[in-house]
Amino acid sequence: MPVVALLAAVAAVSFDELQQRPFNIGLIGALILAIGIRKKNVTIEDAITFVRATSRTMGLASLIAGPRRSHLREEWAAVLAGDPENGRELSVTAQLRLASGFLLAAIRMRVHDLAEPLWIPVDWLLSVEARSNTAIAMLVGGQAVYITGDGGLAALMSDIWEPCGIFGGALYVFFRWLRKARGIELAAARSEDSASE
Amino acid sequence: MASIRLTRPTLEVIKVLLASTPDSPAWGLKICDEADLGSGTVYPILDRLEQRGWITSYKEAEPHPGRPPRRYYELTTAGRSQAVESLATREARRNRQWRLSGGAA
Repeated sequence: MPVVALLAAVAAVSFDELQQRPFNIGLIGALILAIGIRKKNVTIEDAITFVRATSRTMGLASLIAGPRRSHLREEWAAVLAGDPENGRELSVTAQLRLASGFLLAAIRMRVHDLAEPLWIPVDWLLSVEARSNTAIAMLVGGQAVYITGDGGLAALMSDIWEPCGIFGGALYVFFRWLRKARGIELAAARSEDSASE
Repeated sequence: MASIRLTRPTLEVIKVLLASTPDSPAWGLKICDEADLGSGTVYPILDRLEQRGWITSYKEAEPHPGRPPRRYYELTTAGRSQAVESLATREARRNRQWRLSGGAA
Protein backbone atom coordinates (compact mmCIF):
# COMPACT_ATOMS: atom_id res chain seq x y z
CA MET A 1 0.00 0.00 0.00
CA PRO A 2 2.77 2.53 0.79
CA VAL A 3 4.37 1.59 -2.52
CA VAL A 4 1.15 2.41 -4.36
CA ALA A 5 0.92 5.74 -2.50
CA LEU A 6 4.54 6.51 -3.37
CA LEU A 7 3.93 5.59 -7.00
CA ALA A 8 0.88 7.85 -7.13
CA ALA A 9 2.82 10.69 -5.53
CA VAL A 10 5.73 10.30 -7.92
CA ALA A 11 3.36 10.16 -10.87
CA ALA A 12 1.52 13.27 -9.74
CA VAL A 13 4.61 15.33 -9.04
CA SER A 14 6.95 14.26 -11.77
CA PHE A 15 4.73 13.31 -14.70
CA ASP A 16 5.75 16.28 -16.81
CA GLU A 17 9.38 15.84 -15.98
CA LEU A 18 9.24 12.12 -16.73
CA GLN A 19 7.95 12.82 -20.20
CA GLN A 20 10.89 15.12 -20.81
CA ARG A 21 13.52 12.77 -19.40
CA PRO A 22 12.74 9.09 -20.15
CA PHE A 23 15.86 8.01 -18.25
CA ASN A 24 14.13 8.98 -14.99
CA ILE A 25 11.36 6.43 -15.63
CA GLY A 26 13.89 3.64 -15.27
CA LEU A 27 15.41 5.26 -12.23
CA ILE A 28 12.10 5.65 -10.42
CA GLY A 29 11.03 2.16 -11.50
CA ALA A 30 14.20 0.76 -9.91
CA LEU A 31 13.53 2.80 -6.78
CA ILE A 32 9.96 1.48 -6.49
CA LEU A 33 11.20 -2.07 -7.07
CA ALA A 34 13.83 -1.63 -4.35
CA ILE A 35 11.22 -0.29 -1.93
CA GLY A 36 8.90 -3.18 -2.81
CA ILE A 37 11.61 -5.77 -2.18
CA ARG A 38 12.67 -4.03 0.98
CA LYS A 39 9.07 -3.78 2.13
CA LYS A 40 8.57 -7.50 1.53
CA ASN A 41 11.66 -8.36 3.55
CA VAL A 42 10.84 -5.89 6.29
CA THR A 43 7.46 -7.54 6.97
CA ILE A 44 9.18 -10.71 8.07
CA GLU A 45 12.15 -9.06 9.70
CA ASP A 46 9.92 -6.49 11.30
CA ALA A 47 8.19 -9.05 13.47
CA ILE A 48 11.47 -10.69 14.52
CA THR A 49 13.13 -7.35 15.17
CA PHE A 50 10.10 -6.12 17.10
CA VAL A 51 9.96 -9.26 19.25
CA ARG A 52 13.68 -9.06 19.91
CA ALA A 53 13.40 -5.33 20.59
CA THR A 54 10.56 -5.93 23.06
CA SER A 55 12.52 -8.56 24.94
CA ARG A 56 15.70 -6.48 24.91
CA THR A 57 13.89 -3.33 26.00
CA MET A 58 12.24 -5.19 28.87
CA GLY A 59 15.59 -6.71 29.89
CA LEU A 60 17.22 -3.29 29.84
CA ALA A 61 14.33 -1.80 31.79
CA SER A 62 14.59 -4.42 34.55
CA LEU A 63 18.34 -3.86 34.65
CA ILE A 64 17.87 -0.11 35.07
CA ALA A 65 15.13 -0.60 37.68
CA GLY A 66 17.79 -2.10 39.95
CA PRO A 67 18.11 -5.17 42.17
CA ARG A 68 15.52 -3.87 44.64
CA ARG A 69 12.92 -4.25 41.92
CA SER A 70 14.12 -7.54 40.47
CA HIS A 71 10.55 -8.90 40.73
CA LEU A 72 9.52 -6.49 37.98
CA ARG A 73 11.23 -8.53 35.26
CA GLU A 74 8.90 -11.46 35.82
CA GLU A 75 5.94 -9.17 36.25
CA TRP A 76 6.65 -7.27 33.08
CA ALA A 77 7.03 -10.55 31.19
CA ALA A 78 3.57 -11.51 32.50
CA VAL A 79 2.17 -8.17 31.35
CA LEU A 80 3.66 -8.64 27.87
CA ALA A 81 2.06 -12.10 27.74
CA GLY A 82 -1.31 -10.33 27.84
CA ASP A 83 -4.44 -11.88 29.25
CA PRO A 84 -4.81 -15.21 27.38
CA GLU A 85 -7.43 -16.48 29.86
CA ASN A 86 -9.77 -13.75 28.65
CA GLY A 87 -8.67 -14.10 25.05
CA ARG A 88 -6.56 -10.98 25.02
CA GLU A 89 -3.35 -11.38 23.09
CA LEU A 90 -1.22 -8.27 22.71
CA SER A 91 -0.02 -7.30 19.27
CA VAL A 92 3.70 -6.91 18.73
CA THR A 93 3.28 -3.14 18.50
CA ALA A 94 1.35 -3.04 21.78
CA GLN A 95 4.08 -5.15 23.39
CA LEU A 96 6.75 -2.80 22.12
CA ARG A 97 4.79 0.19 23.43
CA LEU A 98 4.46 -1.46 26.83
CA ALA A 99 8.15 -2.37 26.85
CA SER A 100 9.08 1.24 26.03
CA GLY A 101 6.86 2.27 28.94
CA PHE A 102 8.72 -0.16 31.21
CA LEU A 103 11.98 1.44 30.16
CA LEU A 104 10.62 4.90 30.90
CA ALA A 105 9.22 3.66 34.23
CA ALA A 106 12.57 2.14 35.17
CA ILE A 107 14.39 5.38 34.38
CA ARG A 108 11.85 7.43 36.36
CA MET A 109 12.06 5.11 39.36
CA ARG A 110 15.84 5.14 39.26
CA VAL A 111 16.01 8.93 38.98
CA HIS A 112 13.59 9.09 41.90
CA ASP A 113 15.88 6.79 43.90
CA LEU A 114 18.92 8.92 43.14
CA ALA A 115 17.15 12.19 43.90
CA GLU A 116 15.52 10.95 47.09
CA PRO A 117 18.52 11.64 49.43
CA LEU A 118 18.71 15.18 48.08
CA TRP A 119 15.16 15.81 49.27
CA ILE A 120 15.87 14.80 52.89
CA PRO A 121 17.16 18.24 54.01
CA VAL A 122 14.45 20.00 52.00
CA ASP A 123 11.73 17.84 53.54
CA TRP A 124 13.22 18.44 56.99
CA LEU A 125 13.04 22.17 56.35
CA LEU A 126 9.50 22.05 55.04
CA SER A 127 8.04 19.75 57.68
CA VAL A 128 8.00 22.40 60.45
CA GLU A 129 6.73 25.91 59.78
CA ALA A 130 9.28 27.50 62.13
CA ARG A 131 12.13 25.96 60.11
CA SER A 132 10.64 27.18 56.83
CA ASN A 133 10.14 30.67 58.26
CA THR A 134 13.71 30.71 59.58
CA ALA A 135 15.02 29.73 56.16
CA ILE A 136 12.92 32.44 54.50
CA ALA A 137 14.11 35.01 57.06
CA MET A 138 17.73 34.01 56.51
CA LEU A 139 17.44 34.24 52.74
CA VAL A 140 15.65 37.59 52.88
CA GLY A 141 18.17 38.78 55.48
CA GLY A 142 20.99 37.71 53.19
CA GLN A 143 19.44 39.72 50.41
CA ALA A 144 19.12 42.75 52.71
CA VAL A 145 22.77 42.45 53.73
CA TYR A 146 23.78 42.24 50.09
CA ILE A 147 21.77 45.35 49.22
CA THR A 148 23.12 47.36 52.17
CA GLY A 149 26.63 46.15 51.32
CA ASP A 150 26.16 47.52 47.87
CA GLY A 151 24.20 50.70 48.66
CA GLY A 152 25.44 51.52 52.16
CA LEU A 153 23.42 51.94 55.34
CA ALA A 154 21.16 54.48 53.68
CA ALA A 155 19.83 51.68 51.52
CA LEU A 156 18.64 49.93 54.69
CA MET A 157 15.94 52.55 55.12
CA SER A 158 14.99 53.08 51.51
CA ASP A 159 16.00 50.43 49.00
CA ILE A 160 15.58 47.09 50.72
CA TRP A 161 11.86 47.04 51.45
CA GLU A 162 10.49 46.44 48.02
CA PRO A 163 12.94 43.75 46.81
CA CYS A 164 12.96 42.04 50.21
CA GLY A 165 9.18 42.10 50.39
CA ILE A 166 8.82 40.64 46.91
CA PHE A 167 11.53 38.04 47.55
CA GLY A 168 10.09 37.08 50.95
CA GLY A 169 6.57 36.75 49.54
CA ALA A 170 7.79 34.72 46.59
CA LEU A 171 9.74 32.42 48.90
CA TYR A 172 6.70 31.96 51.14
CA VAL A 173 4.54 30.98 48.15
CA PHE A 174 7.31 28.74 46.79
CA PHE A 175 7.71 26.95 50.12
CA ARG A 176 3.95 26.39 50.33
CA TRP A 177 3.87 25.03 46.80
CA LEU A 178 6.89 22.81 47.46
CA ARG A 179 5.26 21.48 50.62
CA LYS A 180 2.15 20.60 48.64
CA ALA A 181 4.17 19.09 45.82
CA ARG A 182 6.15 16.95 48.24
CA GLY A 183 2.99 15.88 50.07
CA ILE A 184 4.27 17.26 53.36
CA GLU A 185 1.80 18.07 56.07
CA LEU A 186 2.95 20.53 58.67
CA ALA A 187 3.67 18.93 62.01
CA ALA A 188 2.18 21.95 63.79
CA ALA A 189 -1.00 21.85 61.71
CA ARG A 190 -1.44 18.16 62.40
CA SER A 191 -1.02 18.54 66.16
CA GLU A 192 -3.56 21.40 66.13
CA ASP A 193 -6.02 19.15 64.29
CA SER A 194 -5.60 16.36 66.78
CA ALA A 195 -5.98 18.82 69.67
CA SER A 196 -9.22 20.16 68.23
CA GLU A 197 -10.58 16.60 67.90
CA MET B 1 1.97 6.72 57.13
CA ALA B 2 3.57 9.19 54.74
CA SER B 3 1.20 11.21 52.61
CA ILE B 4 1.51 11.23 48.87
CA ARG B 5 1.04 13.82 46.19
CA LEU B 6 -2.27 13.02 44.57
CA THR B 7 -1.92 13.87 40.93
CA ARG B 8 -4.59 12.90 38.42
CA PRO B 9 -2.74 9.73 37.28
CA THR B 10 -2.17 8.73 40.92
CA LEU B 11 -5.87 9.14 41.61
CA GLU B 12 -6.76 7.06 38.56
CA VAL B 13 -4.49 4.25 39.75
CA ILE B 14 -5.95 4.48 43.26
CA LYS B 15 -9.49 4.29 41.84
CA VAL B 16 -8.60 1.08 39.99
CA LEU B 17 -7.08 -0.36 43.17
CA LEU B 18 -10.15 0.62 45.17
CA ALA B 19 -12.43 -1.02 42.61
CA SER B 20 -10.47 -4.29 42.49
CA THR B 21 -11.77 -7.27 44.42
CA PRO B 22 -10.10 -10.46 45.67
CA ASP B 23 -11.81 -12.29 42.77
CA SER B 24 -10.46 -9.82 40.27
CA PRO B 25 -7.27 -8.35 41.72
CA ALA B 26 -5.40 -5.49 40.06
CA TRP B 27 -2.30 -6.29 38.06
CA GLY B 28 -0.11 -4.29 35.71
CA LEU B 29 -1.99 -4.59 32.43
CA LYS B 30 -5.39 -4.26 34.10
CA ILE B 31 -4.30 -1.07 35.88
CA CYS B 32 -2.89 0.40 32.65
CA ASP B 33 -6.12 -0.40 30.79
CA GLU B 34 -8.60 0.71 33.41
CA ALA B 35 -6.70 3.83 34.43
CA ASP B 36 -6.07 4.59 30.75
CA LEU B 37 -2.41 5.26 31.48
CA GLY B 38 0.82 4.01 29.97
CA SER B 39 3.09 1.56 31.75
CA GLY B 40 5.69 4.33 32.01
CA THR B 41 3.32 6.26 34.27
CA VAL B 42 1.68 3.43 36.18
CA TYR B 43 4.79 1.66 37.51
CA PRO B 44 6.46 4.70 39.13
CA ILE B 45 3.12 5.42 40.84
CA LEU B 46 2.82 1.84 42.08
CA ASP B 47 6.42 1.98 43.25
CA ARG B 48 5.80 5.19 45.17
CA LEU B 49 2.55 3.91 46.70
CA GLU B 50 4.32 0.74 47.79
CA GLN B 51 7.20 2.74 49.30
CA ARG B 52 4.75 4.84 51.30
CA GLY B 53 2.92 1.74 52.54
CA TRP B 54 -0.33 2.43 50.74
CA ILE B 55 -0.25 -0.81 48.76
CA THR B 56 1.26 -4.28 48.92
CA SER B 57 1.95 -6.67 46.11
CA TYR B 58 2.08 -10.42 45.92
CA LYS B 59 2.93 -12.98 43.29
CA GLU B 60 0.18 -14.99 41.64
CA ALA B 61 -0.15 -18.32 43.44
CA GLU B 62 -2.70 -20.02 41.17
CA PRO B 63 -1.57 -22.12 38.22
CA HIS B 64 -0.79 -19.98 35.20
CA PRO B 65 0.07 -22.26 32.28
CA GLY B 66 1.75 -20.66 29.32
CA ARG B 67 2.71 -17.36 30.90
CA PRO B 68 4.84 -16.00 33.75
CA PRO B 69 3.17 -15.35 37.12
CA ARG B 70 1.51 -11.98 37.56
CA ARG B 71 2.01 -9.64 40.47
CA TYR B 72 -1.16 -8.44 42.08
CA TYR B 73 -1.48 -5.11 43.85
CA GLU B 74 -3.88 -4.29 46.66
CA LEU B 75 -4.37 -1.40 49.04
CA THR B 76 -3.34 -1.95 52.63
CA THR B 77 -5.96 -1.25 55.31
CA ALA B 78 -4.31 2.07 56.16
CA GLY B 79 -3.77 2.85 52.48
CA ARG B 80 -7.43 2.15 51.69
CA SER B 81 -8.69 4.46 54.43
CA GLN B 82 -6.21 7.16 53.43
CA ALA B 83 -7.17 6.79 49.76
CA VAL B 84 -10.89 7.02 50.53
CA GLU B 85 -10.27 10.02 52.76
CA SER B 86 -8.13 11.75 50.12
CA LEU B 87 -10.70 11.14 47.40
CA ALA B 88 -13.49 12.45 49.64
CA THR B 89 -11.46 15.56 50.52
CA ARG B 90 -10.71 16.18 46.89
CA GLU B 91 -14.33 15.71 45.92
CA ALA B 92 -15.49 18.08 48.68
CA ARG B 93 -12.95 20.69 47.57
CA ARG B 94 -14.06 20.35 43.99
CA ASN B 95 -17.72 20.76 44.99
CA ARG B 96 -16.84 23.83 47.05
CA GLN B 97 -14.99 25.37 44.11
CA TRP B 98 -17.93 24.51 41.86
CA ARG B 99 -20.35 26.27 44.21
CA LEU B 100 -18.03 29.28 44.53
CA SER B 101 -17.85 29.61 40.77
CA GLY B 102 -21.65 29.68 40.68
CA GLY B 103 -22.06 26.19 39.28
CA ALA B 104 -24.86 25.26 41.68
CA ALA B 105 -27.04 28.22 40.75
